[in-house]
Amino acid sequence: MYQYDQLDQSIVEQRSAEFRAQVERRLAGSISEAEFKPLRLMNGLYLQLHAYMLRVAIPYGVLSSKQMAKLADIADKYDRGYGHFTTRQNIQFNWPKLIETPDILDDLAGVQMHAIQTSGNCIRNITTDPFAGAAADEEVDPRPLCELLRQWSTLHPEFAYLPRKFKFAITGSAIDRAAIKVHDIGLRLRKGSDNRPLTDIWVGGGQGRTPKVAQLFKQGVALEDLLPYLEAIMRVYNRYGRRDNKYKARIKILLAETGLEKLQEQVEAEFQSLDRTPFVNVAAELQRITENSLTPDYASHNESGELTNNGSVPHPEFDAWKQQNVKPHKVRGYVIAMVSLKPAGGIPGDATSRQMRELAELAVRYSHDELRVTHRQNLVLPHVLERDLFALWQALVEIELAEDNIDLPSDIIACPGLDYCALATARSIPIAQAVSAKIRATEKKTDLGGISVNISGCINACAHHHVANIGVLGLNKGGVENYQLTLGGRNDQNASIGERLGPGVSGDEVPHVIERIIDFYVDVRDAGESLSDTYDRVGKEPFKEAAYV
Amino acid sequence: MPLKHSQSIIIANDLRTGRTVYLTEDSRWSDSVVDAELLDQQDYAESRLVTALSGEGANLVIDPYLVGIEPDLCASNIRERIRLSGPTIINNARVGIDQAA
Amino acid sequence: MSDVVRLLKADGTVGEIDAKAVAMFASLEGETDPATLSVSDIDADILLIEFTGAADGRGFSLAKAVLGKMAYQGKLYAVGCINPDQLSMALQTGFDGVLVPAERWADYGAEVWKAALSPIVKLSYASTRSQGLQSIWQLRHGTQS
Repeated sequence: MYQYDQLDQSIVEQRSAEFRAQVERRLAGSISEAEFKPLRLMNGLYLQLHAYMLRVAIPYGVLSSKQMAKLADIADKYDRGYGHFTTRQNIQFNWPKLIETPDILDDLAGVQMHAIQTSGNCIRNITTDPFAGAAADEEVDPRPLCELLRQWSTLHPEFAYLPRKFKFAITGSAIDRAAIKVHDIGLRLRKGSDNRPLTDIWVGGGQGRTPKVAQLFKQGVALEDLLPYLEAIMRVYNRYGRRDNKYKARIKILLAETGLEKLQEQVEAEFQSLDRTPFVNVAAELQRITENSLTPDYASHNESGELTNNGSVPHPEFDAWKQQNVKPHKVRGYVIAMVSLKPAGGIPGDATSRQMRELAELAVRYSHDELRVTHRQNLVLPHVLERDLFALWQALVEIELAEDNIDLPSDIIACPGLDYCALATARSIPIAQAVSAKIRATEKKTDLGGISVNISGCINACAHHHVANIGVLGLNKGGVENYQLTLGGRNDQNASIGERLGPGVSGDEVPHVIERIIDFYVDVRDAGESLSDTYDRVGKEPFKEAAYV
Repeated sequence: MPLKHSQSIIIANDLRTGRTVYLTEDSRWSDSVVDAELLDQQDYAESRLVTALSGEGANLVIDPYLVGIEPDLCASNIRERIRLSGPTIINNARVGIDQAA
Repeated sequence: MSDVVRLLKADGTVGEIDAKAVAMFASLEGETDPATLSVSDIDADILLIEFTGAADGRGFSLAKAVLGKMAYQGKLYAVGCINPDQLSMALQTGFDGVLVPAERWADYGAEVWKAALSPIVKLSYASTRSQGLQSIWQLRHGTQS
């Protein structure tokens, strides 16, 4: 993974010092809340229902053991002993004090972390494939480009006051694990004919009130042209994007209102006339980023010889976990081990400080010091020797993180919802807890295949309910929580927006409705057919009939 | 703004900590709802809101407003009820593991 | 009467200009599309770019366009909804200073305005036109004037 040099370190420390000064001005009363709010948001500090909330950036979801241990320390020292991993591969703390936030940022800077641009109408944390640099099917490692984009977008003066927030996602595999088609800009890195990386640029995806799948905007952009081209898109969006209505301010609306061809022309004109001087160092910088990144020393680790289960003793629980949570690695003898943060009845994405600290230790021992956060709110140990798996699994059992449910219906994405969030219209976490507690038993006895269940507590769709196979949207109907269901969404390379099934139901009803939908799918599916495929084949009505008894 | 409930309290966030706080009879801000001043006359409630807003001006609290409550100190609106009583989540998984630790 | 406007320059000097004189300067709104501009629009010794909203950064892009591809040679000042916390961005995109009406100047106070000229963050990744700010990419690779 990428290592900061002194300059990266300085800018993060300076930004932290700048925020400390801004907090001091606020506490002294020299700036009002109205003036301070945009300043704190630029550092990821929200005011929620019960307290401030600090969103810490985990750039492209990559964490070192040391960083994970520091997050655990912060949870204990300044918060309530836990953290919440998010769909932007970030972590949120739910109870920090304003007066202590500058200290938290200093602690983060000490381990090359920050909260820069985790909120506000700017370019947000860039996300990628949680298996980047490890996946067996990867064509191009997206991490150096992610780091380049992180640097380019950090405190970029032109893009600090956009019409609305702006999200990038990048994948280097044909199988899209980064949901690039529901981002403002999605980048698909692939190898060109001469083996040099090329990028396909997808524009205008997004969720929220008006969900859209991105359109292919420009194919085969060479890396040396990529940053100028992205800068051109950003300028055109900033110039013409709507500022009169926040629900129409995303680039997806600009694309819909302008039309693909005309927007492409505008971007091309900007790209052609753009001053390239700021980008003369980009190729050298990409090279430097690659050189300043630690690559696991797979060979030496291979010889270390750990305690293993050689398979002579049958262990059905371990086998089930391995079957569900372990994915192929590009290096022979290695695997990718996924750690589910979705225990049956638990809070999706939450980890206690003790769990974080233990995971940091496990990453030291078994995963070359590295961890990843997934946009489905789980964690990954990306470089594990296959023969260490049994020992790793035993350790995960100890800290109650060995749930073998990756990609199963109980692996639910849920936003904080009305229990924490000032924007929410209904609760999400208690619904997720009830759903996972109920369907976990079914999952264990029937092979359901991958089914995604995502639960958002308002129309902003932080839990990506539109692109779930089964989406749940919590609304407030006359003071009472009411939940709408959508079916048939997908967030992969075949991204699609789910369709609303019918009238909303009460929170108590949600687990039953979902169970009936899954039972119906199991009854009618063809061999190898996913829930969304079945939905496409049989249509809404039969599912509706099964869901509403 | 007419009072929709027979009784109201004034709620805000503490600037320094962000915690939910309540306006007391002696015009302090308490983090305990039992200390909240119960307001049952609309004119008086509005004058107390003016006091509360001066707390915002003095950089003590953020966004004070009136919340209608029931006799048992519960808000009738779900959002305000959660604000008053905290997250409704019961985390069996976490409670279990941390007690074991 | 508050018809005096402060001119805070990047070099730290503070001048006073009569509001009527300010109104005579050539001026562009921040949201102006650079593609619609001709050389005659910016044929002046002093040009103002007006920020029409605190949450609208298009004036920064316009400054780059005017100084870059339109090769404007005169002085460029920011005016309108711009606050001390945004001053660093203005200098970074090439403004020579900011014009602040007396009332706005007093709101923040002279010290805050002047302090904003030497921001705590002294680094930027991409290129910068500000004397007080260094480009990390240039420092690393040193290939740019």
